[in-house]
Amino acid sequence: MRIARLVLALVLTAGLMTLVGVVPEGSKASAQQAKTVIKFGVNRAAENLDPVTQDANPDIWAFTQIYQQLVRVNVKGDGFEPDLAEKWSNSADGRTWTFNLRKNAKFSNGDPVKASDAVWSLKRARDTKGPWKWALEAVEDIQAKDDYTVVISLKEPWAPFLADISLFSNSILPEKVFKGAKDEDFSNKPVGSGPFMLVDWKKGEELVMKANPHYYEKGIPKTAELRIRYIPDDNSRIIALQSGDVDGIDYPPFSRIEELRKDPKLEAQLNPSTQVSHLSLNTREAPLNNVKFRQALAYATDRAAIVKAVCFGHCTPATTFLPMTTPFFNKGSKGYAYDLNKAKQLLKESGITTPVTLKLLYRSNDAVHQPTAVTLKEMWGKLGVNLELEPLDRATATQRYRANQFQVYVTGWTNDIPDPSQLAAYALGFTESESYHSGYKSAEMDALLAKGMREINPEKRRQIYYEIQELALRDSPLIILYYSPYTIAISKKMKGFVQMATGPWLFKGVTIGE
Amino acid sequence: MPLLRYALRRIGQTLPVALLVTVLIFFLIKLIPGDPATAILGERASDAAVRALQQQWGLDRPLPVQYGVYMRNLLTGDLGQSLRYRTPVIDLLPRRATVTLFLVVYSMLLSLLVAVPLAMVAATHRDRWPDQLVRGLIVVPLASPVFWIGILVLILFALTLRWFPASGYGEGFLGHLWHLFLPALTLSSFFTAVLTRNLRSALIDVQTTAYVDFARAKGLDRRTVLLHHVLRAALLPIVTLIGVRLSYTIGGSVVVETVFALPGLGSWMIESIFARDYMVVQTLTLAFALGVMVINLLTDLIYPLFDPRVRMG
Repeated sequence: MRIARLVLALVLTAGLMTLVGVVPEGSKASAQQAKTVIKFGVNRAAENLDPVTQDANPDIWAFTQIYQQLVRVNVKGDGFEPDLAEKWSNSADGRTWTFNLRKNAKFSNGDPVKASDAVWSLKRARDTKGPWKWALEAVEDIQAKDDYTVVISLKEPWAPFLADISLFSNSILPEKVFKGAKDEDFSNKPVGSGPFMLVDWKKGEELVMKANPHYYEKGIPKTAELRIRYIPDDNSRIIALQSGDVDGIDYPPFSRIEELRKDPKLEAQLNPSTQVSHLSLNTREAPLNNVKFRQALAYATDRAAIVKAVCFGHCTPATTFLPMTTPFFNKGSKGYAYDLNKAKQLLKESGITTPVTLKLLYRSNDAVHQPTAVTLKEMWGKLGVNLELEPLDRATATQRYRANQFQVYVTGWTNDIPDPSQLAAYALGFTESESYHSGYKSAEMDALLAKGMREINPEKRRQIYYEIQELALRDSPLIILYYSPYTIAISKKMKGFVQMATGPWLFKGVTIGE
Repeated sequence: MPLLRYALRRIGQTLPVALLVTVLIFFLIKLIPGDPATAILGERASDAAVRALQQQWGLDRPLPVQYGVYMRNLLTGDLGQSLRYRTPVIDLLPRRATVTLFLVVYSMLLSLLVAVPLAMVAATHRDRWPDQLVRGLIVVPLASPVFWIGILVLILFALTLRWFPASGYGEGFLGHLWHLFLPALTLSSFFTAVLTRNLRSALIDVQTTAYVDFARAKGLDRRTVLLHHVLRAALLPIVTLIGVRLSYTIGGSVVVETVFALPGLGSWMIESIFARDYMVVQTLTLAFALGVMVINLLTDLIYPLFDPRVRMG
């Protein structure tokens, strides 16, 4: 027994020593930092901070802290505000835009932001073969009239031009710093004129930003330091928030929202977004080349049930392919209400005999695609459609989809600009992506899409996009499912946090209280 | 210097294996559908944008040519670029490797610290209640998935008691020690159980040997017999066990690193596979393979220190 007691005492002492010796030091440090640092936990790590070549949300949302554009999208995502340009105007023929830059804007290295920087940055964005090249496709020339005036001429009048120029890929970078720089420098050492500047980046771990002392808005940002920490596991991210390790987190899963709302110290937010989920149907081959069959599937899809199963009721059944917050979203659109009898009727009219087998391709490690697939299998089964599920890892599924090797694919969209043209062209225009790789090609639709790009009068433009929405429902190359909000959870000590409808967070007005 | 000669010969044997690993992993990962340009640019980017990236990264060249370039770079010490982070792999590797090594060694030490006393208690009280208690307790980590233990430990120590942070690596040695305590505890749980079981039965076996009887007969007190004669002999098979388990523990660190958001090699490897970040996967596979070889070698070299009967031939 003596030995047993000795051993027990040893173990306990060792354990206690670990606790007593180390704990106080760390907790002191975090208490001191509480007021000057914002700590935010995210589910995916930033990879490349070059706004022209990167296409991933964590990076895009970091761009918003570091860079500025000529104009910026407002928080609601339905209009524009001055950013680097104080004011702007369009010529009578709609082809020449003039932007007057504010004179007090400076890059984080202290250099003033001049028209030449804007010209250089926009030309680089236009000429780089990247994911955002389309945003400046209407541009003919970009010139600096003087140090603070930028003139952009277009090939033709272009309705979504302000939206395009507000895109993060058209951020203004200092020419002096980046002229002739290597790709790696753009990706790893960003310099902009936004409220924060990058000071340290432990890749796959943490982005550390400090307030840009030269930012033009006085007293902004309100907190001196911002740390964006990568915590991939949903449960761990929530525990990090609850334990005070971080002040806020992105993407708590829908299944945890109710529980988080009951915590008196936390605030769970469901923020308006431009997210829309849908299925892309490969219309090149039978049976999905049959429009009646596609309509039958659309009617056999119980969106309310999907919203319940996938989003725990926190999403909204979709009625048109445009996200709810997009300008010219047709509020009156009825979409396809669940109606199994109508679906069976249409199936009969289509001449397709059941049972028929379809393959559903989706990304296996996606928290919402998996339940979507399972729910659909059950629903469509009632119509006599046997849905074979084909979950594949993201890179493989993406490649198959891009190569049009699928029948039905679960996917979704978020707008990058507050305008319907980007999504409409992508989802329904053949040239951009073969209509979401569905292979849908319609002369009627193409004509409407082209008109929508060029019509300057907002009311006429609205009518065009209403028609496009109606036609998209009729032809159903996509089966739209639901609109989902962005989920965020923050400590109630964190005030002033804003998430834009296009997704990015705004930390510049954030304060962390006691 | 037979030991040195033995070590050199073993190292010489590992080189062809390492070469084979590079060939296998290079071609295997290329067999997986999907490529880094698609993985990075996603669904929406134009085909032209994807092709431009593939060209820039040399992915459009024939595979043997790509392998040649890889080997040439490897031999000159160039591990290539992380395509995802647009940073040389060598710049990212040291920090990541430190985290995992720290975690693995820490968890091994915790395992020893807990398992040795537990096994001694159990062995000296064979079939009485302390033994039953220890044997009952160690079934729990043996039967529980690591990520689940991790979440439980987080809820108890980080959320309810607030003794330890929920995530991250910390600053400085003490900071690492504090931040990595819960991950190391989680990672150690399985090995602690295995070690306790093995050590307990080894101790019991040794206790019944003739030389222990002789030591007792000489009149040595129980403590001296246990610590100097029994434990030392019982630790011998444990050295092999540690060597073998160390490789598994590196594997287990993948899960633990994800749960505790640690920037280690395991989580990096998994993410790089999903992102088809070829150079990172190739480097890490090679590093893991070499690591396992080194551990095996060290185990063999340490053995004679414990058992004078083993000599290097």
